[in-house]
Amino acid sequence: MKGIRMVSVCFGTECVARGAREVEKELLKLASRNVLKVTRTSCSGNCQAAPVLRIDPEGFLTGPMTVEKVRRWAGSGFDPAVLESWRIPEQDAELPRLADHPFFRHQRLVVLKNRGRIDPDRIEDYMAAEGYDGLARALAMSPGRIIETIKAAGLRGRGGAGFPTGVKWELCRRSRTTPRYLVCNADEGDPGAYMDRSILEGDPHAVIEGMIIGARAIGASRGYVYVRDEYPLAVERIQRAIEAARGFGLLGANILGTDLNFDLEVVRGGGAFVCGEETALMASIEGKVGRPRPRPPYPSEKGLWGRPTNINNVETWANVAPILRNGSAWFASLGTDTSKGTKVFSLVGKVCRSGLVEVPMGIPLRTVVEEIGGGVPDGRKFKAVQTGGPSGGCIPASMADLPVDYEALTQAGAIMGSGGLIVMDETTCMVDLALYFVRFLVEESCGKCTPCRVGLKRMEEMLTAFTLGLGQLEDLKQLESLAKTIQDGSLCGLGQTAPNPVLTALRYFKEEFESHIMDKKCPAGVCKALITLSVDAERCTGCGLCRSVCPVGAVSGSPKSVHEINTERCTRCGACVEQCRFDAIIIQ
Amino acid sequence: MSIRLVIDGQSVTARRGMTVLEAAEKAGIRIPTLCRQPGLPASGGCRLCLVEIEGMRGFPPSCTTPAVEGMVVKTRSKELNGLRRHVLELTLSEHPYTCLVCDHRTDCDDYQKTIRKSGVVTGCQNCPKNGSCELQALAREIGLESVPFPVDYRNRPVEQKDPFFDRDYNLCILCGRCVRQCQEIRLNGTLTFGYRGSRMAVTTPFELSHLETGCEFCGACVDVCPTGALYDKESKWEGPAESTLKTVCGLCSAGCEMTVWKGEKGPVAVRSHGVLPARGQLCVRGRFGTLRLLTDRRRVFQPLVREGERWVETGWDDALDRAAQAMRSSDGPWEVWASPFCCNEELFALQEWARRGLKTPFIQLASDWAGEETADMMRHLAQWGGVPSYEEWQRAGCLMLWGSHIGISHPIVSLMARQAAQRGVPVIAVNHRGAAVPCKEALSLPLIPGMEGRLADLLMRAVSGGGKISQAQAAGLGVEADLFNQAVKWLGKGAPVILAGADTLTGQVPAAWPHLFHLADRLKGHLVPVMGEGNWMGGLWLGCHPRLRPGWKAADPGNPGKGRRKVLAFEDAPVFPDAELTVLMAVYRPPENHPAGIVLPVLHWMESLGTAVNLEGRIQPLRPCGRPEGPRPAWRIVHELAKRNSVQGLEYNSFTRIRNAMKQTIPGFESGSAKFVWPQKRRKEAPPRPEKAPVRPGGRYPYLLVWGDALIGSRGVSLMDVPGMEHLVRPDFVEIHPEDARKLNVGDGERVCLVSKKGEVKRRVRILNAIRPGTLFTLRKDPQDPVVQQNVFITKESHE
Repeated sequence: MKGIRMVSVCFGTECVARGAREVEKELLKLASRNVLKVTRTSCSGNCQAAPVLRIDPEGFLTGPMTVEKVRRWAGSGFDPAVLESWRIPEQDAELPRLADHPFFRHQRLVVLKNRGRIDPDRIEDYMAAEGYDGLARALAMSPGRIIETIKAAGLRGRGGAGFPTGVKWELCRRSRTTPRYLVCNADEGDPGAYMDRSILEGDPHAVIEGMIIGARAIGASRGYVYVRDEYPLAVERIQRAIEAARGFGLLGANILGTDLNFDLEVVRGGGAFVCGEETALMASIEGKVGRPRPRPPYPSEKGLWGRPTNINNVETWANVAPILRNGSAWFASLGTDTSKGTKVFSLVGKVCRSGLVEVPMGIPLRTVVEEIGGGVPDGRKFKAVQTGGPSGGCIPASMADLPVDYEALTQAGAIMGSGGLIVMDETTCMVDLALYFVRFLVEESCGKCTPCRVGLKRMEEMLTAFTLGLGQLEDLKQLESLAKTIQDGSLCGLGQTAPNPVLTALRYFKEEFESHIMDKKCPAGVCKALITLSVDAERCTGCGLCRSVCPVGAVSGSPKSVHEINTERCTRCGACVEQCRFDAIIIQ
Repeated sequence: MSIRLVIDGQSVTARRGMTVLEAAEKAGIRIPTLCRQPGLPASGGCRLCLVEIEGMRGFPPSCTTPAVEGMVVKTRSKELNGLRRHVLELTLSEHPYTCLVCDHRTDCDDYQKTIRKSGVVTGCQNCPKNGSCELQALAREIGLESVPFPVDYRNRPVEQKDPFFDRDYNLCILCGRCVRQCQEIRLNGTLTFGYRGSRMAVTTPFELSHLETGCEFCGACVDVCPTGALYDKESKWEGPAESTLKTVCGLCSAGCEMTVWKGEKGPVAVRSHGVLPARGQLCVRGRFGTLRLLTDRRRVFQPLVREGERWVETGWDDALDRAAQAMRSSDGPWEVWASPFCCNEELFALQEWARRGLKTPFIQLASDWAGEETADMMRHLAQWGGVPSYEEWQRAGCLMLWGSHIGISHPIVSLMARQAAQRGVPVIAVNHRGAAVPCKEALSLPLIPGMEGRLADLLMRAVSGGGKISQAQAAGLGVEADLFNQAVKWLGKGAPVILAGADTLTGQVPAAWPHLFHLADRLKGHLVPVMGEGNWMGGLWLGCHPRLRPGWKAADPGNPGKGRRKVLAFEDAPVFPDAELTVLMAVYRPPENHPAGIVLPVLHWMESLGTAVNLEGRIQPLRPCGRPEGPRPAWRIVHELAKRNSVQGLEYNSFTRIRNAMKQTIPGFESGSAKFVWPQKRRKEAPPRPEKAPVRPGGRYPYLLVWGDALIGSRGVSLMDVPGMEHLVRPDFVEIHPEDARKLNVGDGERVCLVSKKGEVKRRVRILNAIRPGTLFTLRKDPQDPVVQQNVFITKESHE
């Protein structure tokens, strides 16, 4: 193996979108196997520099890579020194160790321990990284002991609601009916969230190991991994991993020579957001339309095909093996009093360094946004952060010192959620944002219960009216009462949490709603009906770029003289704003 | 096992397994609901039945939350009331709601009567459900006075092209009752939810029309719709029922209970009612055909006498005098034909009149299922212990369906088989045309028609002896050995209920009933003849047959006597142009060329007060839903004739008298309705099994034709006149295997002539893969068509 360098091409969404496939192809074309071993990995976290390569044994990241750069590197005979200039983080002179960089310094990797390090398609790689050690330990323990260990560790559901995992397992274990089933919920549907996909793509065996341990603890004979079909790579990887595990006797009858019989099956979901709700998900596995049903009875009593079923989210399952491996005390030492361990977030939005991050519970949101994420770019102001996607809420910058903790976030009106973290700056209109999430949910509601089906539609109409400047002050009260009805009256979690974005926006940014209503103005300059575009005479150089891009011919002016925008004709599409290199277009 | 819980401070006892809502209802505590319907599985979607339960987060729906020992429930509170009101507001924001909250709605009711019957419903006065709408009731109950949202009208076109009922989904509130009814009770699947979120809608697969999707038009969805979204075409503008009445459908012998809605001028609609037989379900004939038959234009209300070429109306006295005169003085033999659409009381009186008044042994039920073979079978069944009740069907270890057309003649029986299969009871269908029960636990065992008896014998041997069928034996019967063995396995699971149609039991040579009888007997199961019109069973039981006396006693068919026959008959009897005299008891005016000399108008089934016996042998009460001037019950006519001819002991001048006479004469009838007519003890007296070889087709008549019965009318009047019925029951087809069709060079839909020794009929070709080559299947179009299984040949219809 001497002399062989390992290059891991990041295959996160951002990297693929920015050309990781082409980079990989070029690498495979140019480098012989004796020189480079090219593998794919899941999102390595530093999406700002996509596409990213990890170079081992040196252990650094480079990016953004291009086909051209690969060729240049190949020209040098794959000399790692050539990569130095593209190395990320760029400030490597001051921070020689990757781990010292602010993006990584605050992270604590438990679930993502193997990210970008192992080839997810090789079970041997996983095993070499202590994989299946937790299972080996669990097989030597009684089911009760395993559950006690999980309970003592304080692991809570990472899908968002934070129900104690050990208690859930115990409830299922206690039900007298058999067979019992396990489900891994990988129907990640929040806009901008990709934690579960990354885990399945990057470390599928972590999930499988967790589920086998769960099967031992609960006494389940069969498990299902419900992945949305929009995640083809995740589906492929988990399927391959299941086959590999079967080959090693880790799945099937008499696992590792014990009396444990357990097998896994992948079920591909059609991409309905509501199928992330456990009862809808189970209906979908059964081949029915993915519509939730009221609980109780809970899945632990009557789940799949009326049998006891334990559903956990991908990240929860991935936390199980580390707990068994390192002990509950180790896990409980991470995090806060009530929220233990770490949490994976996909940090996106108006932030310098976006990406997948894993932080210990209790870390202040501000640290995540400003240190890990490097703050808001272009000198704009950090305004708020949205956690939990359409089910969560926004937390204003003034409250950003709030710790990442189930209770604290719920108290602020948001939720932990499955891990989407969207950063917003002053150019984000909170009314528009609330409308965005409500629209998403109007589309994604299953339509079964009235408050969610009709209530959200009415809510969308009211918010649309606000963005058009058609609202009235009394409407705010009605909006709040409507939100309460949807919260209290809806059948499933989707509806019950649906008003959260609106309610938090109302709670923390009421003045923005008021200015839409009273002044007919959108302070963030987003709502098209309420803004006008004009040219700043002092900044305009008369380059004419705005004139050439305007699709409706609303911009006039001769070269090298100050241009003008015809407000009547202007559709506020913003094309000129985007094109202007001198920030000369003023949004009012 | 009972549990105790506290609801609104009141201590309540409930059964384990009940929901909170059921527990509350049992204690008389009302919780508003919308999507919930007793008999349907709960959905939890409408969110009106929300309650507060101590120790549970939020507001759980009472319709799905199981009641638990010690639970403390609150059904009313400030929060709950507010929440319910808001949820109802949201429901109504998708439904034209002016009728519910308008200040002028009372004035409107009083002064604006005329704006009903609009094509599109936009408010109360033009909604067919106005006055019986559940939303109106809920708005009142919850105290809704305004809705803060404008109506979001969906603007979907009203669906009116399918027969029987209209669908205006602009009024739909998506409670899903119709969908659950269609999918989970009817096991049909025509209705489904399409799309999701705010675009969700009740629709059909691929948005096809109901006719295209295979809708049975049972109307069960209409029955459960809380709004005016689904509505019968016929009764759409009749308004709410003034009164309702529970009676029994008479179009087949299943005895489905139904509710008749009565308006100002008489019955306006039929709805399902009750529990039996199939959880209160009806089929399209009962639901949409019954009233059509009742109000047919051809009804006759005045006695008629023939004068030359014409019918002349006359008074009752004159008509009865003439009839009595003829019956007194005549010396020729009398034939009396009773109708299976008569109530028990009429049948009993008529039988008495025939045997005692006219002193003739010839009293016959005018039914295709009342031949000698049938009489023998029924007498044997009676001695053996009778047929099982529907409750016993529910307990069957296995259901067998013998015969090719139970689904056509008795749709509700076929539904019960589907429901049984859904519950996990194995269902075995045995016939030659692949008619199966479409569900998982069902098996279709196709065979050569005529081999039913042998198959039954082999099954019996295999189940009791554990033997398997040889390949040669299987080939001889035309069954597959694997399927046979599977059937044997299922039959071994528990006592079977064997449901058999007329084509299997008696419709062939040799008749298969003795074999099925032995099979049922050996497996400790039951045999049910699934045949007959409304009161077919009652007719046989009351002795309207030359070989039967009342109470399943054997009778001597006697000697017909000499001379030209004279006929006293109901209109469904065969017509005898050679008769010296025909006295016709008729509901409908006979055609002008009918040879009857005297026509006495009688009451329709739906107007009769009395009882009828269904195919489980249950005596069911019939209640009149109208009493027209003129027609009389047949027992009354018997009374008048007896009085005029001084026959003693037939003084049936009141319903009580005839009832008492029956109580004294016939065992099983002592205590009136809802009882079963069968002797309780099972006697082992199985009939001998004939060892005759089945008739094989060949020579000039190479095809074996099996007849089915559509049962689409009563007393000679067909339901085919009801608009839309022609789409559902097309009696004019002949099913033929593609191979045979190729040989004969006929295509789908082509007209052909089926010729047998007894005559010929015309049919349209329907090519069916499932039917056995060399066999044909068709429905009897009218009672006069040839009955027995015949060998036929086919010719293309000539272009005359």
